Amino acid sequence: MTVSGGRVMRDNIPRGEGERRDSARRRKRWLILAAIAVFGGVPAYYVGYQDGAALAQSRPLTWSPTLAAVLAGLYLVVTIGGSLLMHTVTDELERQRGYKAASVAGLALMLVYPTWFLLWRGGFVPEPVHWMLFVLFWLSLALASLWYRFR
Amino acid sequence: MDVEGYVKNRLKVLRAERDWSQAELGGRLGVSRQAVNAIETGKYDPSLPLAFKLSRLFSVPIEEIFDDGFGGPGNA
Repeated sequence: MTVSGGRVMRDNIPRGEGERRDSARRRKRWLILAAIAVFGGVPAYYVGYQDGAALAQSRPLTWSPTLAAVLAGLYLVVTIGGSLLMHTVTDELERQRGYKAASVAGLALMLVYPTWFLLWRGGFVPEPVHWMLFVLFWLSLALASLWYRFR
Repeated sequence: MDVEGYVKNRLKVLRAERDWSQAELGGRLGVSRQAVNAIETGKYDPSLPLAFKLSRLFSVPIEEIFDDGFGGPGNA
Protein backbone atom coordinates (compact mmCIF):
# COMPACT_ATOMS: atom_id res chain seq x y z
CA MET A 1 0.00 0.00 0.00
CA THR A 2 1.15 3.55 -0.67
CA VAL A 3 -0.08 6.93 0.52
CA SER A 4 -0.53 9.67 -2.06
CA GLY A 5 -2.03 13.10 -1.37
CA GLY A 6 -3.59 11.87 1.83
CA ARG A 7 -5.27 8.98 0.03
CA VAL A 8 -4.34 5.37 0.66
CA MET A 9 -3.82 3.64 -2.68
CA ARG A 10 -3.64 -0.09 -3.23
CA ASP A 11 -0.56 -1.21 -5.18
CA ASN A 12 -2.54 -3.55 -7.39
CA ILE A 13 -4.64 -0.83 -8.96
CA PRO A 14 -3.78 -0.04 -12.60
CA ARG A 15 -0.92 2.46 -12.76
CA GLY A 16 -0.29 3.56 -16.31
CA GLU A 17 -2.47 4.27 -19.29
CA GLY A 18 -1.79 0.78 -20.67
CA GLU A 19 -2.78 -0.97 -17.45
CA ARG A 20 -6.00 1.02 -17.32
CA ARG A 21 -6.83 -0.05 -20.88
CA ASP A 22 -5.89 -3.65 -20.09
CA SER A 23 -8.07 -3.57 -16.99
CA ALA A 24 -11.02 -2.13 -18.95
CA ARG A 25 -10.57 -4.76 -21.67
CA ARG A 26 -10.58 -7.59 -19.11
CA ARG A 27 -13.63 -6.14 -17.35
CA LYS A 28 -15.51 -5.93 -20.65
CA ARG A 29 -14.47 -9.49 -21.50
CA TRP A 30 -15.82 -10.80 -18.20
CA LEU A 31 -19.08 -8.91 -18.67
CA ILE A 32 -19.54 -10.46 -22.13
CA LEU A 33 -18.69 -13.93 -20.82
CA ALA A 34 -21.15 -13.47 -17.94
CA ALA A 35 -23.88 -12.39 -20.39
CA ILE A 36 -23.18 -15.42 -22.59
CA ALA A 37 -23.25 -17.69 -19.53
CA VAL A 38 -26.60 -16.31 -18.38
CA PHE A 39 -28.39 -16.02 -21.73
CA GLY A 40 -26.88 -19.20 -23.16
CA GLY A 41 -26.03 -21.33 -20.16
CA VAL A 42 -29.35 -21.19 -18.36
CA PRO A 43 -31.44 -22.26 -21.41
CA ALA A 44 -28.79 -24.87 -22.28
CA TYR A 45 -29.05 -26.29 -18.77
CA TYR A 46 -32.83 -26.32 -19.06
CA VAL A 47 -32.71 -28.15 -22.41
CA GLY A 48 -30.12 -30.64 -21.14
CA TYR A 49 -32.06 -31.25 -17.95
CA GLN A 50 -35.35 -31.81 -19.81
CA ASP A 51 -33.74 -34.11 -22.38
CA GLY A 52 -31.80 -35.99 -19.70
CA ALA A 53 -34.88 -36.53 -17.56
CA ALA A 54 -36.88 -37.78 -20.55
CA LEU A 55 -34.04 -40.10 -21.53
CA ALA A 56 -33.70 -41.47 -17.99
CA GLN A 57 -37.44 -42.16 -17.78
CA SER A 58 -37.57 -43.54 -21.34
CA ARG A 59 -40.37 -41.17 -22.28
CA PRO A 60 -40.65 -39.02 -25.40
CA LEU A 61 -40.03 -35.31 -24.93
CA THR A 62 -42.01 -32.77 -26.90
CA TRP A 63 -42.03 -29.01 -26.55
CA SER A 64 -44.53 -26.46 -27.63
CA PRO A 65 -43.66 -24.77 -30.96
CA THR A 66 -43.37 -21.45 -29.13
CA LEU A 67 -40.83 -22.76 -26.63
CA ALA A 68 -38.83 -24.47 -29.39
CA ALA A 69 -38.80 -21.27 -31.51
CA VAL A 70 -37.80 -19.12 -28.53
CA LEU A 71 -34.95 -21.46 -27.58
CA ALA A 72 -33.72 -21.68 -31.19
CA GLY A 73 -33.82 -17.89 -31.54
CA LEU A 74 -32.04 -17.43 -28.24
CA TYR A 75 -29.33 -19.88 -29.28
CA LEU A 76 -28.72 -18.04 -32.56
CA VAL A 77 -28.67 -14.61 -30.91
CA VAL A 78 -26.32 -15.70 -28.12
CA THR A 79 -23.97 -17.63 -30.43
CA ILE A 80 -23.73 -15.01 -33.16
CA GLY A 81 -23.97 -11.96 -30.87
CA GLY A 82 -21.58 -13.49 -28.33
CA SER A 83 -19.03 -14.25 -31.05
CA LEU A 84 -19.20 -10.71 -32.42
CA LEU A 85 -18.87 -9.16 -28.97
CA MET A 86 -16.01 -11.46 -28.00
CA HIS A 87 -14.26 -10.50 -31.22
CA THR A 88 -14.01 -6.91 -29.95
CA VAL A 89 -12.02 -7.98 -26.87
CA THR A 90 -9.97 -10.79 -28.40
CA ASP A 91 -6.38 -10.18 -29.42
CA GLU A 92 -4.47 -11.93 -32.19
CA LEU A 93 -2.98 -14.61 -29.92
CA GLU A 94 -6.40 -15.54 -28.51
CA ARG A 95 -7.86 -15.49 -32.02
CA GLN A 96 -5.15 -17.80 -33.30
CA ARG A 97 -5.75 -20.19 -30.41
CA GLY A 98 -9.48 -20.06 -31.17
CA TYR A 99 -8.89 -20.94 -34.83
CA LYS A 100 -6.68 -23.87 -33.86
CA ALA A 101 -9.20 -25.13 -31.30
CA ALA A 102 -12.05 -24.82 -33.83
CA SER A 103 -9.98 -26.81 -36.33
CA VAL A 104 -9.44 -29.57 -33.77
CA ALA A 105 -13.18 -29.65 -32.94
CA GLY A 106 -14.08 -29.71 -36.65
CA LEU A 107 -11.63 -32.53 -37.25
CA ALA A 108 -13.08 -34.51 -34.34
CA LEU A 109 -16.54 -34.14 -35.86
CA MET A 110 -15.30 -35.03 -39.35
CA LEU A 111 -13.63 -38.18 -38.04
CA VAL A 112 -16.29 -39.38 -35.63
CA TYR A 113 -19.55 -38.76 -37.49
CA PRO A 114 -18.77 -40.48 -40.85
CA THR A 115 -17.08 -43.40 -39.06
CA TRP A 116 -20.03 -43.79 -36.70
CA PHE A 117 -22.48 -43.49 -39.61
CA LEU A 118 -20.69 -46.13 -41.71
CA LEU A 119 -20.38 -48.53 -38.78
CA TRP A 120 -24.08 -48.01 -38.03
CA ARG A 121 -24.93 -48.84 -41.67
CA GLY A 122 -22.99 -52.06 -41.22
CA GLY A 123 -24.91 -52.90 -38.09
CA PHE A 124 -21.94 -52.62 -35.75
CA VAL A 125 -23.13 -49.74 -33.59
CA PRO A 126 -26.37 -47.92 -32.75
CA GLU A 127 -27.50 -45.03 -34.96
CA PRO A 128 -25.52 -41.78 -34.51
CA VAL A 129 -27.02 -39.59 -31.80
CA HIS A 130 -27.18 -35.92 -32.82
CA TRP A 131 -26.76 -34.42 -29.36
CA MET A 132 -23.73 -36.61 -28.68
CA LEU A 133 -22.11 -35.21 -31.82
CA PHE A 134 -22.98 -31.68 -30.69
CA VAL A 135 -21.46 -32.33 -27.26
CA LEU A 136 -18.43 -33.91 -28.92
CA PHE A 137 -17.84 -30.73 -30.90
CA TRP A 138 -18.09 -28.39 -27.92
CA LEU A 139 -16.07 -30.74 -25.67
CA SER A 140 -13.32 -30.97 -28.31
CA LEU A 141 -13.39 -27.20 -28.65
CA ALA A 142 -13.11 -26.68 -24.89
CA LEU A 143 -10.32 -29.25 -24.43
CA ALA A 144 -8.35 -27.94 -27.42
CA SER A 145 -8.76 -24.36 -26.15
CA LEU A 146 -7.41 -25.37 -22.76
CA TRP A 147 -4.55 -27.27 -24.38
CA TYR A 148 -3.45 -24.32 -26.49
CA ARG A 149 -3.93 -21.96 -23.54
CA PHE A 150 -1.92 -23.86 -20.94
CA ARG A 151 0.59 -26.04 -22.83
CA MET B 1 19.75 -23.09 -39.16
CA ASP B 2 16.19 -23.67 -38.01
CA VAL B 3 14.06 -21.61 -40.42
CA GLU B 4 10.82 -22.85 -38.85
CA GLY B 5 11.79 -21.75 -35.32
CA TYR B 6 10.41 -18.69 -33.53
CA VAL B 7 12.35 -15.45 -33.81
CA LYS B 8 14.18 -14.06 -30.80
CA ASN B 9 13.27 -10.64 -29.46
CA ARG B 10 14.37 -7.91 -27.04
CA LEU B 11 10.88 -7.07 -25.88
CA LYS B 12 11.52 -7.84 -22.23
CA VAL B 13 14.59 -5.58 -22.20
CA LEU B 14 12.81 -2.71 -23.95
CA ARG B 15 9.87 -3.07 -21.58
CA ALA B 16 12.12 -3.14 -18.51
CA GLU B 17 13.90 0.01 -19.69
CA ARG B 18 10.59 1.85 -19.47
CA ASP B 19 9.58 0.12 -16.23
CA TRP B 20 6.39 -1.17 -17.82
CA SER B 21 4.56 -4.27 -16.68
CA GLN B 22 3.36 -6.81 -19.24
CA ALA B 23 -0.19 -5.54 -18.68
CA GLU B 24 0.96 -1.95 -19.29
CA LEU B 25 2.59 -2.89 -22.59
CA GLY B 26 -0.38 -5.07 -23.54
CA GLY B 27 -2.77 -2.20 -22.86
CA ARG B 28 -0.72 0.19 -24.98
CA LEU B 29 -0.63 -2.35 -27.81
CA GLY B 30 -4.26 -3.42 -27.51
CA VAL B 31 -3.41 -7.03 -26.69
CA SER B 32 -3.64 -9.13 -23.54
CA ARG B 33 -0.92 -9.53 -20.94
CA GLN B 34 -0.77 -13.20 -21.96
CA ALA B 35 0.05 -12.19 -25.54
CA VAL B 36 2.94 -10.03 -24.36
CA ASN B 37 4.19 -12.89 -22.19
CA ALA B 38 3.90 -15.38 -25.08
CA ILE B 39 5.92 -13.07 -27.36
CA GLU B 40 8.58 -12.43 -24.71
CA THR B 41 9.04 -16.11 -23.96
CA GLY B 42 9.22 -16.95 -27.66
CA LYS B 43 6.04 -19.01 -27.68
CA TYR B 44 4.32 -16.75 -30.18
CA ASP B 45 5.50 -14.64 -33.11
CA PRO B 46 3.43 -11.46 -33.45
CA SER B 47 1.75 -10.49 -36.69
CA LEU B 48 3.42 -7.91 -38.92
CA PRO B 49 0.94 -5.15 -37.87
CA LEU B 50 1.69 -5.85 -34.20
CA ALA B 51 5.42 -5.86 -34.88
CA PHE B 52 5.10 -2.43 -36.53
CA LYS B 53 3.06 -1.24 -33.55
CA LEU B 54 5.86 -2.35 -31.23
CA SER B 55 8.41 -0.64 -33.43
CA ARG B 56 6.49 2.65 -33.27
CA LEU B 57 5.84 2.35 -29.53
CA PHE B 58 9.53 1.82 -28.69
CA SER B 59 10.74 4.12 -31.50
CA VAL B 60 13.19 1.54 -32.81
CA PRO B 61 13.30 -0.38 -36.10
CA ILE B 62 11.69 -3.80 -36.16
CA GLU B 63 15.13 -5.39 -36.66
CA GLU B 64 16.21 -4.00 -33.29
CA ILE B 65 13.35 -5.78 -31.57
CA PHE B 66 13.23 -9.06 -33.48
CA ASP B 67 16.03 -11.29 -34.72
CA ASP B 68 15.31 -14.24 -36.99
CA GLY B 69 18.89 -15.43 -36.71
CA PHE B 70 19.85 -14.55 -40.26
CA GLY B 71 21.70 -11.36 -39.37
CA GLY B 72 22.20 -8.39 -41.67
CA PRO B 73 20.63 -7.40 -44.98
CA GLY B 74 23.27 -9.36 -46.95
CA ASN B 75 21.64 -12.55 -45.72
CA ALA B 76 18.11 -11.55 -46.64
